Amino acid sequence: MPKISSVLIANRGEICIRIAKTLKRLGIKVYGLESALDVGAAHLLHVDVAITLTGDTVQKSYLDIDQIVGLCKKHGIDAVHPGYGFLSENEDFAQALADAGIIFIGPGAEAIRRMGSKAEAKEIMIAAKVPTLPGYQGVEQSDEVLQAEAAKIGFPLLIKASAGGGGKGMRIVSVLDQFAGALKAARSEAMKSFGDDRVILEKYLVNPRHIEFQIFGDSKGNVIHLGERECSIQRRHQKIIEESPSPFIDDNLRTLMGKAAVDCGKALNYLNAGTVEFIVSEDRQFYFLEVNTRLQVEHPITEMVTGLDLVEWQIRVAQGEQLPLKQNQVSSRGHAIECRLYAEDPENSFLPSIGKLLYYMEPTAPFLRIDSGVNEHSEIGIYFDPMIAKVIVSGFDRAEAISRMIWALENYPVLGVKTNAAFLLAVLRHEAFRAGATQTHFIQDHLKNWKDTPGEEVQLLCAQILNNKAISAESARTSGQAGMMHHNSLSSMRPTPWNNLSGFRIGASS
Amino acid sequence: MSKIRINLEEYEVKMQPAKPLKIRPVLADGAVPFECGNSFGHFFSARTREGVWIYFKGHTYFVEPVKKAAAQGSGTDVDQAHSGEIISPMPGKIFRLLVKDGQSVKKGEDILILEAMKMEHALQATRDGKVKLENLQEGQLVQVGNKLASIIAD
Repeated sequence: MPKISSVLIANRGEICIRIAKTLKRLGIKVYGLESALDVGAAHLLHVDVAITLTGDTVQKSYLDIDQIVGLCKKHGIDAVHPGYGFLSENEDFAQALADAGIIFIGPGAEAIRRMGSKAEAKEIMIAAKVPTLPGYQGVEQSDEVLQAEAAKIGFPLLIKASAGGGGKGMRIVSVLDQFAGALKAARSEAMKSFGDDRVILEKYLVNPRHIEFQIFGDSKGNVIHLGERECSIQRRHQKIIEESPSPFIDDNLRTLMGKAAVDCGKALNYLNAGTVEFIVSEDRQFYFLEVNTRLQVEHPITEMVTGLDLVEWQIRVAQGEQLPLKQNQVSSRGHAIECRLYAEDPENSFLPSIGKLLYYMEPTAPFLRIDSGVNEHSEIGIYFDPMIAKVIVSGFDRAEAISRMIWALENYPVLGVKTNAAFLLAVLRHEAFRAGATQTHFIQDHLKNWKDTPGEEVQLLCAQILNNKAISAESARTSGQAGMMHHNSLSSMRPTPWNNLSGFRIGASS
Repeated sequence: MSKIRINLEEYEVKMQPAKPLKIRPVLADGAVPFECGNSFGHFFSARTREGVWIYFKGHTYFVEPVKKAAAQGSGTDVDQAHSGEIISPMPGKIFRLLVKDGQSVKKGEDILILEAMKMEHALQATRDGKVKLENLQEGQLVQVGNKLASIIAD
């Protein structure tokens, strides 16, 4: 396979920036995409060449396969890194690139297709002896068949709409007697929401955890895993805090799950980076959930504890090299946590908070990594995911990592939009979280009606800043800089030589 | 004594002589050190026409004067409950209309699903009655504050 000397990152935001950093370190020429939806976006400052996409919707720009493949051909680009989201798990995209002789940095169309179908994925895993959640997803939908299958699976179980999502048409049934009634309700809700009343049945786990394993495969048939990530803390079915190692699993279970993850990769003849997701019950049984055939959002915690650069590995195996390490050479050190900082309002159903960042400053520390996709004056708009940054810390142990994360979030000023920082802090400080009780229902169980109520002193401070111009006058008196509180953005008063330049243009005769 | 709104909640703030608020000059990075009672730390602030954004130890507060806020904010809350109007809480796209114009609904029933940034958000009927949709189509973009539907009491 040819060596990769140029890569298009078919993505935006923090993941584009993160990938670009590694590519540049490897001496690869980095192409990025500039879209009309994303004018002046932060990621464009990190690529060598910005290629302009036409189209004024996401569908007609970042998701336009023909356009992107055409641009790769036009610019003679060797390979495409899809990041996550967008086209990263789109088999047609992987296939179109392969057909054009361009390397897709990922597992290839076939693996994406097989893992994209939940039913097929499950069959493959059953054949590979990877434990799967007992359930029924057959075509036969009569009451009698479903009831008989339910009895086989055991209780509690979950009735889900086949076409479903978002909890619609979902019923938990704890005893057989309730099954018929619940089935009727689930069907009618499914019909109403999706126009399709077919259901599937699944064993229901009480207080489960979501734990995933990073796997990697090369073109020589080697597959290894790089340890686990505990991703149970979720809101709206999206992860917000991830950590490695998991506070729940012990070495014995880790070995079993790691082996299952590798078996899973081998069954797929897996190439490149992938993640095998498991759901783990309170009594430490684990079941295959799905394979994500891409680099995950939360990959940095694996990098933090293993000291590896997963994007570098992706490039190396994509150009035909063998995996740099064998399973027994992979080691993990300390504890890493990632928090996803979102522009959203935790007091209002975590709805996105839109606006321009008026002030933005990232903290720095030796144990801290921030993967962000914004800068000051960035606009958080409606077209894209409202994630501002991923805050990643490492520590000697879990307690140290938690206290370092608290410090980082307490020293990360973002103004102009609501963020979930205070909510993340509430999770990190919660005794159940500290005790490692990280179940997927954590937020529902412990922080359901969370409110950020300012204490008396903070109220006083707020009133003072709002009403009393004397604050700035007082600070002006002592510092000699008048009216500094009245600026829209404090950044304008940070002492930098660029603030003093007027009408300066590079290359202009002035 | 002063009335302010912090993140849409009203507060009556009393100045306390026992707890003087001390604010030092702005530091190089825009942080302002302050001290009050047992509380201390650095805050950051940014003013807009409507109010001021404040960041303090991971918490973000948007602070507004109460008079103006009362006219806008709480006013619409009350109107909304009384008139049965359904107002878009965020900018986004109409993802799915779950009811037809003129259909009878019960309070709390889902009327439509809004989508913004890959997230879906269901809006519910604020009371029992018949739905009057505001000429909506699936896929249509809406802004925050747009009236999407109203529930006309039977």
